[in-house]
Amino acid sequence: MASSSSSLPSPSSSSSSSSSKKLVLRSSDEKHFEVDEAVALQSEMIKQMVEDGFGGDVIPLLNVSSNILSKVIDYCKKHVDFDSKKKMDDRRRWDAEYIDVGVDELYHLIMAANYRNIKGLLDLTCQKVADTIKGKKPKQIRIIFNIKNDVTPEGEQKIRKEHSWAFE
Amino acid sequence: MINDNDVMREVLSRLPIKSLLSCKCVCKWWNFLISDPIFAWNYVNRNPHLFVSGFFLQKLLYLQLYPDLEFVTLDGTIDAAPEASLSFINDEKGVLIQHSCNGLLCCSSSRCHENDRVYYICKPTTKQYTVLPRPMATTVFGINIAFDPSKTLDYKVVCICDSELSSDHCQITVYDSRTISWRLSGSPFLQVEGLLYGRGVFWNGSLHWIGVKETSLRFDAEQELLVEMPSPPLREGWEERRLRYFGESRGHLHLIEIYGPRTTLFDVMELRKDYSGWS
Repeated sequence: MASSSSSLPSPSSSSSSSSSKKLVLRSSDEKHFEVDEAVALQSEMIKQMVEDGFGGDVIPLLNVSSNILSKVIDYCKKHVDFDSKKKMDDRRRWDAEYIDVGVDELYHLIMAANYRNIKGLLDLTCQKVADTIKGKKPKQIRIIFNIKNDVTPEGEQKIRKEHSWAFE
Repeated sequence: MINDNDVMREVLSRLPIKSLLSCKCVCKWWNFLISDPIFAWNYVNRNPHLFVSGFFLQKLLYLQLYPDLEFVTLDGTIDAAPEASLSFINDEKGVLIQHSCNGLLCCSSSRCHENDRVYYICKPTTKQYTVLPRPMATTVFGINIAFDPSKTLDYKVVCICDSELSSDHCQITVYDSRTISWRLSGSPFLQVEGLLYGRGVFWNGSLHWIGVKETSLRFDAEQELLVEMPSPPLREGWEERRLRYFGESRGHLHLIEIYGPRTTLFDVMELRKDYSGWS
């Protein structure tokens, strides 16, 4: 998937539909990815850049690493396919498998989806985090997401008292 | 872990209400995000079943000092119901609900002389309240809140009271939560016969008062303009309308009237948003 900057264009991505326009994305670790324009335009940020005339150059994505970028491109490619077919069940099944990742990877996917403004992927990843939080106790949530507990015991007591019914 | 406000809000807004509230204990930052009134407003908009959790039913009996308060939940199973009590307001005379608007209540001391009456704005869901300064009047005919949290978290309290000009005139005074003070709004106007000042309804950016006769009024809360609004025609053979309900529900203003002895037969009317008439 990823190719070094010297071997552009990458043969794997250009073989599928050679007629459509391509864009080149560069990850934070200097790997280049050539993708169909339709795939890249799933990102509102890239769409804006293309509209503003930056489409011809390499588009740098400063805070997205190559392994996360390739995963994000997977998502965008698949969803360009889905959009043309409208098979909701397939899409749901694929999404569920796609998002079955660890907390760290999930975090990087969320940040990439947010930074590049890919609404579908942001929805999917945020829902995954919400599903993970749902029904768990604050203590468990802190462990799973590695959050430092900065709420004083008195503060916690106050919150519990205010919303006692939520803690039953 | 996530460190972006917008992304975290996006995650939190997808949680069911119980999970969301228990997440306030996870860390200070989450508590801060969840406690933000604008987040809360967006959250209930995403979860419309939480929009109204229920109603306060106030029963005022003639010989009783304090009104009885009951909380009727809309959905029998919802446990988000606040306590059916306004006892968090510290008033030895008891507390009477005067008006409600989008989650805020305007209350006053219950049984007491007009001069001793204290007015409050409170939020039962968080048990917060504030004491209003004395309205600029001897007699208060009606006191109403104008509050639209989808636009701003500031509110106005609109008070219809007597005017110094003459006993036939009324004056509108407005309390603004930004200036925390009362001021006169507009000129005195002639009393309107049969207008139910105590039953104002906030809808479409205005307060509305229905009259049992032909005339009804509305007060545009933003521009502070008082204008007549169309009333449905009086039922033939009746001198006054027999109003049973006048209120707002999910963005519509409704009026229910009952004529005749059969209380199961009634007219429900809805005002068109452009004030062109009732249907």
